[in-house]
Amino acid sequence: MNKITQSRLLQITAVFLFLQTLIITLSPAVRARTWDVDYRLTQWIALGLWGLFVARAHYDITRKLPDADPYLFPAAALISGWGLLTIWRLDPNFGARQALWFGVSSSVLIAGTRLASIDFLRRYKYILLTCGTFLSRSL
Amino acid sequence: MTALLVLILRVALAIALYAFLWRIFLTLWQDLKQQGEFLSSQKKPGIHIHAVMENGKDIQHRFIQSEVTIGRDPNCDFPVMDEAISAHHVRISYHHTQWWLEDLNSTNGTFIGKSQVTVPTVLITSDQFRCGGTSFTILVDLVDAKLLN
Repeated sequence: MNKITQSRLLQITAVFLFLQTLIITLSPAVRARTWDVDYRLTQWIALGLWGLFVARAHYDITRKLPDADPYLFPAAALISGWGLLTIWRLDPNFGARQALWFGVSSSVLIAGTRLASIDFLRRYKYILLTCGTFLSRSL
Repeated sequence: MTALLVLILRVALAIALYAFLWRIFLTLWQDLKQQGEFLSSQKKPGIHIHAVMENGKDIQHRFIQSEVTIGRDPNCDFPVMDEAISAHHVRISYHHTQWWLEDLNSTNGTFIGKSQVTVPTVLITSDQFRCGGTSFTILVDLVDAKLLN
């Protein structure tokens, strides 16, 4: 049941982000009021990256954590994907940086699903928090 | 034309966003409904108490509530006019899918056979216990075991 719920929510999220990407692609044509313009296509890379990481994380979550909350990951995927595309629309350079962060965080999530125990997160919470803060500042 | 197309896409975008929220709301609502139905279906079995007093007089009652007190006090669920029974002598309660017998620090004690009840004890159908000069027999209603689990 959790797998189906999560899967359907992610499908809706994918449709939402596809439409968002399509709108961004067509936005120069709307501005110029003609089809004969240079279309922006780089945001499709962001959508592709999002799709790859989310599909992989969804596969791992449903296989290794069948009792996981089915709403949390789709909600996070929607917000992060939406944010990624919005930043990409404003500035592709910042968008690329955001995509990098999205990739890092998704990889950590995917790696996290493979852990047998997550007790060390609680044990070293302040060290991890400090490392995360320094990592954010360094980039 | 391009503006119209993008407007349609934006409307579709908004619909997709609301569909996402609606889907979450619907699933949560169905979960809550299922949980409610499950809890309401968890029936507890009724209990039939048959008391035989020293003078041979017998009284019997059937209870569907989860707690029954027996004693000399008329406010008890099952009042028994026996001088050897305390005002609030014993409690029979349903929890953890079983009926339990618990002595309420009575003066003359409660006995199952010859052993005194000092800790809450599980009761099953046909069990007998004695308070003062009155002996009680318990009959538990049969309920679908699937519901109890």
